[in-house]
Amino acid sequence: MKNKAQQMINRIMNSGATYADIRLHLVDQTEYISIVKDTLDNYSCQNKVGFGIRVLYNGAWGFASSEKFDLLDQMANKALSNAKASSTFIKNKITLAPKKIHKATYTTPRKINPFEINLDEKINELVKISRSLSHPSFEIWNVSSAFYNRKILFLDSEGSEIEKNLLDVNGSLFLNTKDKDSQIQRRHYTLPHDPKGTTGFESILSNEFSGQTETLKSQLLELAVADEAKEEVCDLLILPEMMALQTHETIGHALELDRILGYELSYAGGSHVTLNDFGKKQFGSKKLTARADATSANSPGSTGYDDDGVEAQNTTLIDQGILVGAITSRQMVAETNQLHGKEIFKKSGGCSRSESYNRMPIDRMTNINIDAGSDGNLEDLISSIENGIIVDSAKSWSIGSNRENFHFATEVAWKIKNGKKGPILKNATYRADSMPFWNSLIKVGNASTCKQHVFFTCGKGQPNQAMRLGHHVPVCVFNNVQIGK
Amino acid sequence: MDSIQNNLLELNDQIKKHHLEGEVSYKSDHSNMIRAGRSQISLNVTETRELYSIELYKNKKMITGSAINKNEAMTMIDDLSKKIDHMPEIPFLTPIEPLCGSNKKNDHFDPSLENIDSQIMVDIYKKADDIFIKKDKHNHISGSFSSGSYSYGIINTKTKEPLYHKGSDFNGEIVVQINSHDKKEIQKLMVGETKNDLDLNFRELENLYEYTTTTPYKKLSEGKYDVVFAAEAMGELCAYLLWISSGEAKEYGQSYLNDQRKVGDQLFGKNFTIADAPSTHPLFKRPFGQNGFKHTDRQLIKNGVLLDLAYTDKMTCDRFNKKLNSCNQSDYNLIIEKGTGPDDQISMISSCEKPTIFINYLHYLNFTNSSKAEITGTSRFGTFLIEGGKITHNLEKVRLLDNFLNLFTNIEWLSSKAVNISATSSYGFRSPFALNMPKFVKIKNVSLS
Repeated sequence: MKNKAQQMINRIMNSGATYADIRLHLVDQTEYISIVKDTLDNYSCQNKVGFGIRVLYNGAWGFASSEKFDLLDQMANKALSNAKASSTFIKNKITLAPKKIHKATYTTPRKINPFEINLDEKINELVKISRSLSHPSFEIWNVSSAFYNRKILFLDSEGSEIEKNLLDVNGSLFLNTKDKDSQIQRRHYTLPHDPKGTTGFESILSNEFSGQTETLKSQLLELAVADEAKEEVCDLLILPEMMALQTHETIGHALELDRILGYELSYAGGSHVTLNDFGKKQFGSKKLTARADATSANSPGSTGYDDDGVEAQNTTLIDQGILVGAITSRQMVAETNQLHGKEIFKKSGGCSRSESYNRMPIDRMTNINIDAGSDGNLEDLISSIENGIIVDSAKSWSIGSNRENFHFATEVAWKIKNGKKGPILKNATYRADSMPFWNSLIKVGNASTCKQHVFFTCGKGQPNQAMRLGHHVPVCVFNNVQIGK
Repeated sequence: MDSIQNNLLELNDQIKKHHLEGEVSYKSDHSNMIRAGRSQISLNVTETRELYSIELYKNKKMITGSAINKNEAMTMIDDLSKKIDHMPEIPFLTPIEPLCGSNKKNDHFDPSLENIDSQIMVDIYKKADDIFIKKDKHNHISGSFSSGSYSYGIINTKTKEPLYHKGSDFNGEIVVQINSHDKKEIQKLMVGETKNDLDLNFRELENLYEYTTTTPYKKLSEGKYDVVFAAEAMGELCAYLLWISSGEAKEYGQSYLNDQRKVGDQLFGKNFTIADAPSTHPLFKRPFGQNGFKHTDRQLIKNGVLLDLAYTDKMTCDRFNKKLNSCNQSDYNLIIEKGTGPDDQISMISSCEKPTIFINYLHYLNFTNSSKAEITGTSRFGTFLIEGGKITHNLEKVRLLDNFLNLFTNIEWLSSKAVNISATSSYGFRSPFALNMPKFVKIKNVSLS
């Protein structure tokens, strides 16, 4: 297959293309198990293979994909003809920033491959966790896990030859109950990943997953009799699961270079950031340092090399509040520097990613992280707040199309008064304009407060692509935030 | 079609050979899409896919899997038939029943959409660029246009003949970013099932352009306003309402329905009626759902009364002791009943003497609290203030912070003309879904911030 693919690339290049690549998914397996109220709800598995061919011709892209390897040449011709049609409406010819050529293999670090262990063992483990979630007053509870195993071969016309053996494990829990006002209250939990750990069934067996059930149950029982969070402006302490979403939506998406340039405008939206902002814009208080770090050992955002064949990197996005970097690919870096008339970005940040072989790569997050601060542990942070609220776990999110503002609803909250944490509150929401919000960051917790939360369904692009990624974030405190409107 | 039908029959027989009950469903598509950004084509893609999904049952045990062609599906059935013995029993699992859907002749497949020349798609954006670049050289054209075909089929071991349906569709949008006016954006949507449905009339988009570039800008203060929602915005709200009005949403605690708000209650205003109407809907009529259930006309909300809850998933029905009674919501042919209100943009604007906000589109809708039917999202692609029958200001995007019970109880009027609105961005196992909506809907006392 590799030889055929290489021959195809040579043929397309001889037809006048200036660049071509192929991603061959030689193995692409998914296994999903869901347990509802201690009973199997769904066990499903999927095996597939496929390929996607990307061709650059006269400064324009064409792409075609199939699951039938015997259509390789036909799809290559289709990708080329698509690129030719695209080239009739191109005002700035697409070029690619230079890259280092790799002939390499990347394998996700793992201990227990979930595809190599007994099915009964996997189901029994989840049923066991489900039983520990049960309670007579709960309406419904669920434990689920998904395992993804992919062997991908990337070849391009520049000589790259990269094999990736990727394993992802996702685990989640949720439980619902009816509260005193007949409203449904819910707690959910998604398995965080230790950035220095391994990906495998060992994470499902770890205390990070099964060890959370008692906490979630007791919080839900409290929520069932809790009062509503009050409408007020006060300090806001955000725990890591919610901080991950906050970071994702208002730092990550805002700093995707294709959004900044306007290529996502018709669907996901643009960004309030402009090319003139790099190196100057005060994106947050001095407490804020954020990175796009694809070098984390254990995260679905770490794949060794992106889908341009660029190596994983750790790029600073915001340095002590100043915007210095973006989430970038070869195409967007080259175009940005050309448009701006000077070099803003030295090279691709290695963030060109696609959901699968049947999608063309676009600028995507890898692991968008916030550096730990020096404002102490969780108890220190709480005790420093005179009037505030703690929130965690997103119930809903809605963000302005340029990521300029947001509205989040959360599952669980606690009032803080004079440095003391009060009882649980329900239905807490908060909203703000993004820039004043990040500039109101007054405290950042130390490393003990950090967790890496992972997302498996970040949507972006037309055609839409669901991306897997992570956020290693500390507990943060923001000043004067609107709660409950 | 015959080969797919035969494949489904062979796979069904394979299940029977293992002395199991089961179901095989099939999906395929051929999709083409181009995308424009910054007034050029940024992406031009083609995909062809098929998928066989398999469910096997053995007394109180079940197992599912999927494969990308018939041979793989055969292997998958053999593999799952061995694994099923390792599955735990599901005490409430009921036997599968014969499929009740029916095959009907397909009249709406346009092969020219399946293998569309991508130059045709590129030229749509060239045309838009020609029009709007003449108005201001700084304008940028964006958008995506997708065209293709889809098919789906289903059979189970209690049914002799497979059900099969094939259709075609296109959908897309053209966005103009008006860079000289604070990067404001306006949009035109397109949807249809044959090439003849493609409407490249830009008059209303040009009107929005004029309103944006010739009226002063204003920031709206937080409060309650009378709002005219264009069909695209109202369609989003209706799709979200139906999602939390389903049986599945109720059983899994994601609905606003409870002992106080239930089927048969007057939940909304008397001028609000929604039906699933495959017999009269102008687009994407499906003879059966992807779950194999028959697709026939059905009132969902009649004069503000919620008439029924749809249950579409066998496992949910088994778990909660309900009866499967509907095709999937994604297969619906939704019609929101028209009213007697203004039927075009000019007369709509003229009719609004008192201050009224005109919202063309809602971006990133989400439930803030589904138990209370609370929803939020921001306006996009043109937000205007109408006073004295004229557009007087273009507005900064506003955030809707309200709930469905208020919104759909306070409808002042609905247009007398209906338009088709696409509610999916279809590519890759495309499953086109269009609402037939009044062109504009005016709602009183809407909370905006």
